[in-house]
Amino acid sequence: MSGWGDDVGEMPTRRPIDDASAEALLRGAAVPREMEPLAGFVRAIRSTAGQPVRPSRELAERMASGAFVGEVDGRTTVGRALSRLASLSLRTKVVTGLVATMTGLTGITAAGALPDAAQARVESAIESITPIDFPDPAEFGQEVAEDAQDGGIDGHEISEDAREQGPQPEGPGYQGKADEYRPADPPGGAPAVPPPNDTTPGAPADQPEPDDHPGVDPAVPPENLPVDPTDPR
Amino acid sequence: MTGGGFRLAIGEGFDEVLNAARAGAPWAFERLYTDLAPAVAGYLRLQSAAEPEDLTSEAFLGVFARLSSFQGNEQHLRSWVFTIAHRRLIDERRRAVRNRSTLTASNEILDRIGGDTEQDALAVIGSRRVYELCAELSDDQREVLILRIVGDLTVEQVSLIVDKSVGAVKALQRRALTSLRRRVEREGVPL
Repeated sequence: MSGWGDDVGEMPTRRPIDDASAEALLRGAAVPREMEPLAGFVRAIRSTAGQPVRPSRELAERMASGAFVGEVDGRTTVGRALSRLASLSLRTKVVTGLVATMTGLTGITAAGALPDAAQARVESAIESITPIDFPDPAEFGQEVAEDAQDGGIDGHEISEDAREQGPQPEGPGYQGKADEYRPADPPGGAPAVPPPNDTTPGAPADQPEPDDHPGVDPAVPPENLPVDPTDPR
Repeated sequence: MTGGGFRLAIGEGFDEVLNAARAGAPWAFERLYTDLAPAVAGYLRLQSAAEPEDLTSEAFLGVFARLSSFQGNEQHLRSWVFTIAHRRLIDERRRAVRNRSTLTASNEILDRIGGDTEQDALAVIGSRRVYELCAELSDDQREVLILRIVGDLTVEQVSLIVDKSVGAVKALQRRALTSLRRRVEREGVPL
């Protein structure tokens, strides 16, 4: 750094703050006398961070019990599911609610758990908006009698039913084994899950950080998983 | 506390503390929290967080929950903790868009500093003035300055946290200091 006061026309009273003097001020190193008031103010800023801080009850309890081990985040699964739901659009919420309602209602109806009149009305409603057909109770005995007359249900019928109604592991959202869910890659070969972008030194760059990337939560299944409205689960 | 700041408060025993915390040892969590939480809370207060102490706890819940995947030294941990605190602050601001005038929320903390002595009263006045002058900086200038001073982070670390270039961070801290210098010299600050 060149000495001050060498140049004619230089401001005699104030030296501008350059990178070197800024660094000295911020690190608390020695500074020229004229910057001492500012250095004192920087010390005052630093001193505001010296007060002990009481942890919240949740944090104190977890620290005392060491209850962080094996967790991904401090929040509960329910809390994350709710925050995930809150982030969805209104349309998605409506569709999600309808699907949840219909799958539950369909299950109850299929089990015949409703009173007779209600059962008939709900069956009718479900048949009108879905491809599901409920058997007519009046025809139940007739079906059984016909099966008994023609030798019952043979293996051929069962295998055909299995082919027609069984799970389709090649469907959307499936890759690899049929019992293993993986989000399908979008066209173009890009990965369905974006890589973490935390490049801070020391940060676990290979770990997803759901809470630091709003909207991404590995605890909640991807949205493109197949949803079967006839699934009574 | 010296002018050198808070850095390497644990020092050579850091790896032992970190490994113990990863294993769930309460004393290790307490050690890390005691060393880092005051600075995090100070950063959040100066940034006008509505509930700086709650937000500090929230940040540490996130830090401790993911400690098993952390790799680095003490300075890296410090930088990582402030990264998470910074993101919590942004989340809080998104949740509740608050006016800059909520700086008065810090008065509650300042009140706790005060006692009966004249020295405490002067400390409160000085601290209040510190908050007020920092609040007069632009958001970017204040962010960089507080991370440098209270976070005791390098220019490079701050640039990663605020997602700006090193040159931009240097320019912001120069302007912030120049602005503060003008005010301090003009008005004087009881420190």
